[in-house]
Amino acid sequence: MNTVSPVHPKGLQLSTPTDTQIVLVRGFNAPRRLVWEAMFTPDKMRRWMLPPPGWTMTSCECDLRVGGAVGVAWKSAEADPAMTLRGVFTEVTPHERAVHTETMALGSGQVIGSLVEKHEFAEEGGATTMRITQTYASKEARDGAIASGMDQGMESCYQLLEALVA
Amino acid sequence: MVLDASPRLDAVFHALSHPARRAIIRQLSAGEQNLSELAAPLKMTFPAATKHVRVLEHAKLVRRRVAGREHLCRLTAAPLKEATSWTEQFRKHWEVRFEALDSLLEEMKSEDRSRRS
Repeated sequence: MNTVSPVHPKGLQLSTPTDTQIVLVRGFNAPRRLVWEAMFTPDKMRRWMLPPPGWTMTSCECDLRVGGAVGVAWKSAEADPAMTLRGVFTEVTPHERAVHTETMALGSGQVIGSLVEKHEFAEEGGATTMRITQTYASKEARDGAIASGMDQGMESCYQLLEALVA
Repeated sequence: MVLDASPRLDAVFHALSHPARRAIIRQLSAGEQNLSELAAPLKMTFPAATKHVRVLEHAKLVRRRVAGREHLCRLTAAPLKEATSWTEQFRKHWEVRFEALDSLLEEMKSEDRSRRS
């Protein structure tokens, strides 16, 4: 069952449908088995999970099955690791849907964000729409992620902003 | 991941996080108003409106001037523009990742085709 409606053109859509969520929707000109492979295969993940300038990815693992681990680490000139991402898959329906937990931490071990990330894929006419839904434990946690730049959220504010600055 | 820490933008987003303050901004987008004019349609007490206006002033979203006994409030759009552009930067950060994914997918598609032919 497809729960994602196709989006054209490719343009990324960001929204915050609830107080604890951030949703990213993006269309890709490729069948969803390839998008799926690109999203969850370590040597492919290295190609698109671009770090901030000056950082490098030092490790990347993705054991795509329920209970399997996902883990990425980056280093900077100052710290190794500078940041880590660790999580566990809780749901895997090949080419359709994958859910994993995710904890982002600084090299010091200080946790900067914990969330559940859901990926949904829908294919139509050889193109794929991917929807990523990030769910945080609380509005504060989501806003914390927003504050650290993982998202800016607050869709209603943006609509207001756009109207005002247009 | 964009690590962006700007106290000024924090103040703007904090100011925008309350529905009453968004309502005030909406009202002020029509033009300058005094505090009582602002408070009335929002069914707010004068002190409550004053409190919200202070938060907006702190974020430099509203400028207040005193004319006789009136406190006139006016919207200042510059911080809103900055906030919007910061949003745009964030969106671009993700878009850059997804563009990298686009090129990767093009490669994967041609590999896929040659494997099948």
